[in-house]
Amino acid sequence: MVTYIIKRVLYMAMVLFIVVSITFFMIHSVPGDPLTSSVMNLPDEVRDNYYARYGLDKPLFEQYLRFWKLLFTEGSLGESIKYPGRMVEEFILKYAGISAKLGIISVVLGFSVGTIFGILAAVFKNKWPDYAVMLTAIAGVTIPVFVLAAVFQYFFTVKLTWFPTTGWGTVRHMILPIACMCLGPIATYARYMRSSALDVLGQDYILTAESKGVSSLNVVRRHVLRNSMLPSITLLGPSVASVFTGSFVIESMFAIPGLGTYFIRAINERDFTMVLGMNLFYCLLYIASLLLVDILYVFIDPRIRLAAGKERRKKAHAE
Amino acid sequence: MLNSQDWRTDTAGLTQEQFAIIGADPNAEDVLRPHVTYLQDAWRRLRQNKLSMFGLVLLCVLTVMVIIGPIISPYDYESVDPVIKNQPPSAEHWFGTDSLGRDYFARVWQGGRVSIVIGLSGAFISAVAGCIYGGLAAYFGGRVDTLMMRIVEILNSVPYLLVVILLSLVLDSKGIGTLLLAMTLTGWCSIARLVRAQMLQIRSSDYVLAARLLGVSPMKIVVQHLIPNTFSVIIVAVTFRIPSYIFGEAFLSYVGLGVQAPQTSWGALCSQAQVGLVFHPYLMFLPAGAIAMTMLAFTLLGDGLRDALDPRMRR
Amino acid sequence: MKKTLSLLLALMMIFALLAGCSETAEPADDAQEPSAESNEPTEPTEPSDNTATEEPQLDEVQYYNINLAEEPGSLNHLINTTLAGGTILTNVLEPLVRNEWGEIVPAGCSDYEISEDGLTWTFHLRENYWNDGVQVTAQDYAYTLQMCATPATGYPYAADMYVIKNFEPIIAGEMDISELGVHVVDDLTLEIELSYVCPALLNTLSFMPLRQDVYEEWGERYGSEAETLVCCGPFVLDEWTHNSTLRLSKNEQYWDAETVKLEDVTYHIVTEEVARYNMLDNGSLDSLSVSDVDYIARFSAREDLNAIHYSSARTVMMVFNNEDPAFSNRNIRLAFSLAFPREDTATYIFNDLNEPAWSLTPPPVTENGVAIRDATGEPLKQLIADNPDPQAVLIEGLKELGLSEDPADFEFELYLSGTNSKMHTMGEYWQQALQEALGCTITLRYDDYAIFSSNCSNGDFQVGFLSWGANADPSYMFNLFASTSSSIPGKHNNPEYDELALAVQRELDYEKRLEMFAELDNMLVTEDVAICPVVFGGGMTFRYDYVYGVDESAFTDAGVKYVYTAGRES
Repeated sequence: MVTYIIKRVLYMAMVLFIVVSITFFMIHSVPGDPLTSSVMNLPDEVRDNYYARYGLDKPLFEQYLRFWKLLFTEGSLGESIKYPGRMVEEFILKYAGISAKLGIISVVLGFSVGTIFGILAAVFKNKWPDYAVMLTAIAGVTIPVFVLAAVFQYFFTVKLTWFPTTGWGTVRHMILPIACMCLGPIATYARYMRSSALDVLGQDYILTAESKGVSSLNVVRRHVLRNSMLPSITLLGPSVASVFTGSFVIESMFAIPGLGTYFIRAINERDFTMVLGMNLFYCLLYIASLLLVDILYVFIDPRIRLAAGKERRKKAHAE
Repeated sequence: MLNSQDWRTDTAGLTQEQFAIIGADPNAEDVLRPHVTYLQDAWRRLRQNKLSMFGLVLLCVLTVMVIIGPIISPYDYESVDPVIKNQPPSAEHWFGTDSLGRDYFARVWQGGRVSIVIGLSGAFISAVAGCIYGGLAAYFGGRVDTLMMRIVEILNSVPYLLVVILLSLVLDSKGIGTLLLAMTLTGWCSIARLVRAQMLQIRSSDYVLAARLLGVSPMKIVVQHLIPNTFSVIIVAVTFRIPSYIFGEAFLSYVGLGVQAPQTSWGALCSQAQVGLVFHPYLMFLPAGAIAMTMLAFTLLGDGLRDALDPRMRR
Repeated sequence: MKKTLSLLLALMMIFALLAGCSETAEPADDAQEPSAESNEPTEPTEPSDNTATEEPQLDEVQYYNINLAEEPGSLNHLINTTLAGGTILTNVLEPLVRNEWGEIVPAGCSDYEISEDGLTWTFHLRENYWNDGVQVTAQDYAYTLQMCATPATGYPYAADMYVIKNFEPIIAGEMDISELGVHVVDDLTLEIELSYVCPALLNTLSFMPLRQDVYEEWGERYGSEAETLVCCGPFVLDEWTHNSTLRLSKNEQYWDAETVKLEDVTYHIVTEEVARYNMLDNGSLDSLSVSDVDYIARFSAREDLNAIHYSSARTVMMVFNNEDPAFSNRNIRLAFSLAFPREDTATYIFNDLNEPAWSLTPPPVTENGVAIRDATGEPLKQLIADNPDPQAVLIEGLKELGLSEDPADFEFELYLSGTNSKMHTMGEYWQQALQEALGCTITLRYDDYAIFSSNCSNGDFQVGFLSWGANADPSYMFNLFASTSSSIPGKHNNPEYDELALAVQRELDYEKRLEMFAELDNMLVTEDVAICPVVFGGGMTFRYDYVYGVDESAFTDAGVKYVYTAGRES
């Protein structure tokens, strides 16, 4: 297992390198630069000076090398072009935490409520809890987040002035955004959980347990839950990664100073360094979460083997 | 038949001659029910599922409406008449009018044409691609798995918005093909990961080993043995994919890919209804409701299909 | 050195097209006379300018909550390119002069003199202090200009500073910075030399100070956080929570601190339109510019909100690519201009917040009190009356090009920047209207702004939609269409026009200037048909009735200096 993890970490570095390189050349091949996104057509000397200020006058490959050099020698992701004077890593360190606060709560809430709903729906299949969960799930997926946010904001901050409309700081600022953000995950996890729990409930060992007289609560707890978690765990990984990068819709609707609004704007405004740095950060989280998920698989189901090494050795032995 | 008491009392007086061989029924071992294949059986059980049939009917109704809706509406879906803008539903305009005074009934059904095609074909393509990819990765495991999963990681880590902008510049085509390509480019990845996880779980099962020993080709093992055992998860994934493709299309048409004005789609109608939501909720809830209906139909159908196809549920 | 807000506004093009921008960013023209129609508030019973009516009882606690539509890029005025950054800077720094209620008034300087030849401007500074107690000197103002001219700064608006002597060769690296036409005579006297006579200098540029020691202390980081900044304006920046709020408080060291009533000002950075409306609705904001028709109706019905209709001094126009094979033909361009549904667009798309436009210059732009729009007249209207059938004009044009005479054979493309749903709605409306009027097929193309402007400057478009902000100096707008300017991508090329546009900048006699503007407008809009003016931007500000002292004029850079509240329910 340890060698497997070490190997995966090495692969991780490789994937990061490839993704950053692809992103770098992609963002530079889209027409427009940070200057054209705010000012149209300037005299050459002004443009040249501006480019030189941000190192954009160098050949593309040199800029690419400079990115890596800066990262390894100074541990820096470079200066944002749209927000001059501020380093990209500064944005990440300062604001990822805010996004994560919201994100983690809603993922935890979504995951646990979704799991419980899913199990309930499976146990009470084709009875009202099942239908209720199904309808909730459909609503959770087909009502766009922006609709939910707009409706919640209108009712709870304008009609009833229970919460502040926008801003950040207190628990009251967090309630509406979290409410909007966890409906989708609840829907998703509930549906996957229901489906795989039904698979497990049809297995012989459940029948055995039931005939042994194990109470149905214990059956669910000991056997069903663990054996049907796999799809939920698979989905949990990437959603943990995006927790740190935040939600564009929610953060702009509630004026939350998280990371969510920066990335999309950075692409639209061709803030090259920002796009690159934030994408590096996201990619790192994403692949780390996938590694974590793979490791979790083994703990949840011992039948799963990730490393081929052992198998091969066994085969060789048999021969 | 044999009565035990008779048998005991009569035993003594019985002789060999009293018995004659009348022959066994050569057809005794025949199955009396007609022979059904796996799929036929599944279809039979699906038909018995009332909810699934309701889903199927709902889907048919939606399809029919999408085809005839724009025709039976007395108004053109694209002709503007700003004088009558933002009218609530009435006898004149059954679903009201939008911010340019276009008949919303015609627009909702016209929009459904694109959305249903995109939602279904997108979900189908990514399901097939995801199953095969995830299946092969899990089946081979080891290095192949590592390589294939790293490719998924790379695909998912490159900023999607950038990919889409570049695609729209490079392909410069507004057709549905480009749109599907852009949407399924990374859309299959999550299904591949789900399928892989399920298969990692079952690939060490005895029947897979048996098939492998018998020399069945990997592709066949994946398609015939492994995938059917992961159907329950795939079906849920597909039903979730449908609305996300329908909304995704709206996003793509905004960056210049996909359906272009005056064409419209459910996703685009939803986005356009966003600002006036509090004042004209019907502009949002009609297309969003249509998307929900589509998903409901597929969820019901999917749940039934799941029960019908699940080999373990076959009794 | 930083250009005025209005110039920033001018260059920030398309984002403000929908009049959804921040409070001070979209100023109103309430105090000015030129556009009678646009001055009328929708609620005639309510006075739109409540400063004049009565002397209200000041509230004990003076605070003000307003919106900022985006996060400021930087509060270093040498590198900021955002409108939001400019809005904050006018409140925390003191320019030499300010534009208040349509007039240039001394601010950082107490008065100024212009030499006989008009080439040397001398400014006498007031006794003013930075919030750390250091006195503001002429060197601080000179330093900004010197930094702007330094190539390494990468000052993005350097092209507008060429009026300062030797600025152009210095920025190109051909001359030493010491040759710049800016001289510190003594601590309180600043002298600026110009390279040509420019009567509109103070309308075009605003001169902000910069403290050399602070700037050098923070280096690149100057202006990126609240603590890196020293302030000498009416307010001090206390706290900057990025992407959420900026808190300002009164600057006690300010030379005119007596006038400043507000103790605390909070700018809420809310990018989502609906969220802003909700904030005004429940009183989280004291004032907001509203562009959505439903919300306008809702807020107009409120007793405690004043409605102020303003003109945003910007022109929405269709720019023809004069180098496109089809649109190089005047009749084809003319057909589009004739067929364009200006009035319906203003009424139905912009809900009468915008005025239909038949000339280039938006109504708030004036010369000596005369609106340029009135001086130029609207010859396009006559042209439309003379040619009732735009399709015939189109066919004429096609004939001249030797093409098929059936418009139905042709497909023309409208190019719009911005990918939001309002842009789409607008485009779809124009598509239908033009198809109906011209009988040809119209297609739509949308791209994000960076791609749009890049494609446009490469000539890859037929008809492009732009919204361009005006400047208090009327010659600015006309100069955009000279062949020497590359600001507007239509490749309009008319030597006669170029000559006149250059001459008008240096003309001192305002009567003559007005005549020249009229001629320029006529050339551009009706003779060359280089553009098709669509509407003049405008919007509606809703403000709680306890707020007083807001400068509504179009080119104001007074910020919130004069604002106070009276009768706010606590």
